[in-house]
Amino acid sequence: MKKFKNLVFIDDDKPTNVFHSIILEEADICESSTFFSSPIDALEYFKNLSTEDNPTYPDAIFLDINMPEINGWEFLDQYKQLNIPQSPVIIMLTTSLFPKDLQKAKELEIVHKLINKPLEVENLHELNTELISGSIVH
Amino acid sequence: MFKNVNIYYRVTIISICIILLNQFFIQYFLHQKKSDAEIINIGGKQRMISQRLLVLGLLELESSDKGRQSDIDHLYKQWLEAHEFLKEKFAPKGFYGDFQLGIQSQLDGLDVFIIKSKNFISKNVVLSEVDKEAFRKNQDSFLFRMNNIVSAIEVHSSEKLQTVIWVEILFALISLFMIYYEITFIFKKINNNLDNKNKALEDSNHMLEQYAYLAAHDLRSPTQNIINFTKLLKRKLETKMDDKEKTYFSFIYDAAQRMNETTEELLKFASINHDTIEITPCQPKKILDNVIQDLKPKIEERKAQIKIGELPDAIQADQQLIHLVFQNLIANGIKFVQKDKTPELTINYSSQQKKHVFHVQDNGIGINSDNQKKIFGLFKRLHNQQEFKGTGIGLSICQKIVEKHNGMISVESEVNEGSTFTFSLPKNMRN
Repeated sequence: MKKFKNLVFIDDDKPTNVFHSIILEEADICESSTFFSSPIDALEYFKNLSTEDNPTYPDAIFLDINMPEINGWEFLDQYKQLNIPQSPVIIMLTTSLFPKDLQKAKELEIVHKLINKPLEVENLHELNTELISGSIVH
Repeated sequence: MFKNVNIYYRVTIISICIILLNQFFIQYFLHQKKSDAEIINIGGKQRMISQRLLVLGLLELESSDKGRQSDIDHLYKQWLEAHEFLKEKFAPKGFYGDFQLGIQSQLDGLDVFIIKSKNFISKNVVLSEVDKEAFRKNQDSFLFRMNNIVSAIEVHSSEKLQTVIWVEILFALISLFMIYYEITFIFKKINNNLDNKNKALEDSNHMLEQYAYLAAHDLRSPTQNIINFTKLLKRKLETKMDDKEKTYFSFIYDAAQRMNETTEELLKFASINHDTIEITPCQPKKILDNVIQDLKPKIEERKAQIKIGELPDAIQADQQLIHLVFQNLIANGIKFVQKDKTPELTINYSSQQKKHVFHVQDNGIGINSDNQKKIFGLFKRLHNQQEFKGTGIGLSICQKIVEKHNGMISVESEVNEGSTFTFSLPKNMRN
């Protein structure tokens, strides 16, 4: 199985991040992972991200919708302004599948899909097949 | 607010004053009318007396029998007294001073005639035809003036009455207007109070909803974490745990799971607000298909049979919310059935002039009549978790959604026979 180079997780809830790191380890689908509990820090990270020959260039971003500083949607607005040339795939995470959030996720082209938290090993395997075998990963 | 109350008191006082003034006017003019009638009466009497004086006088003058002098004197005295009384009555004073003066001056002239007649009589001589004629003429002009006076008083009195009627009508109109103003003012105040109270209620409801929403929302992550890490620990430690420890773990897990369900339902309940409902044309058939798809595991587990009758092609409603209503009602219909019985559900539709009516009928345990109204209350559960699991929010969600659509939801049920939930949605729904 081909592995992701790097997966970025943005969630203000630390236990969720820990849980996701454990699941990620169990799923064994990536070389490395980066966790942010602050979306502001994550934006900073993307600002300084170099695209050339970067072995840890992220393949996908897992973005929580409900965060105190700026929420997932606001994060996306600011992220889009960075005009990152090879944008990673964006997956939104939420604790409950609100119809309105689902609708919004569908409307935004930049969002690949919306997944209910917490991620399960199966979700990650599914994503791996979906993204690496498909043409979405750049 | 305070200013309004002031106006209210002022208007009350003014209307009371006007009503009292009106009463005063009515009483005053009634009294006037009475005294006018009395005067007219006296005037009539004076006329009679003077006529009698004339007859007696002529008789006294013509007849040889002279025994009428005392009668004449008596009548003359009577006349003079009444005459003084009238003159007094018409002293030029008060509101109708000019008129009084006019009448008084006319009255003044009358004495001359009477005195003249009296003089004729007291001369006690046989009068010539010429004198007799002069006597009659004197009497005639006296009576003529008397008539004039009486009819002038009569006309004046009825004119006064007419004025009173007009003044009274005017005052009555003003009072009516004041009372009308007052009533609308009071009602407006009551309405305003009601509006304010409604507004306060709405605000507090909104705040409670917000509170429930935030509380539920903030509880979700921690409960989710408990579930996640309990699951994780259980998986890691399962082989090392004895049966007791496994039971304890499942207690933690089940409790967290229940808490999670409750918060999720509460979140759904709190998030249904008027501003979030979105009315679009939607197909009930499609909604039901999706609901059945969502409930597939439950339907298969209980081998439930679901019959769907004729449905309208399209209705105006919030598709996702109506989905939630059907989902809750059908899930309940599958859940609340005796364990040894196959759940059988029928979904029917009937069209009324102004509303769509949907019926969800089951063959479950039913609800006794005492509880039928209570079941729509938030957190209302009729069974313990061992009998039937649940949060007690599902039907509250249904009721809230239906009411947000300006519809109604109700239940008919018989214990051990089953229940039929009926909800209606208006046909002319607008967003």
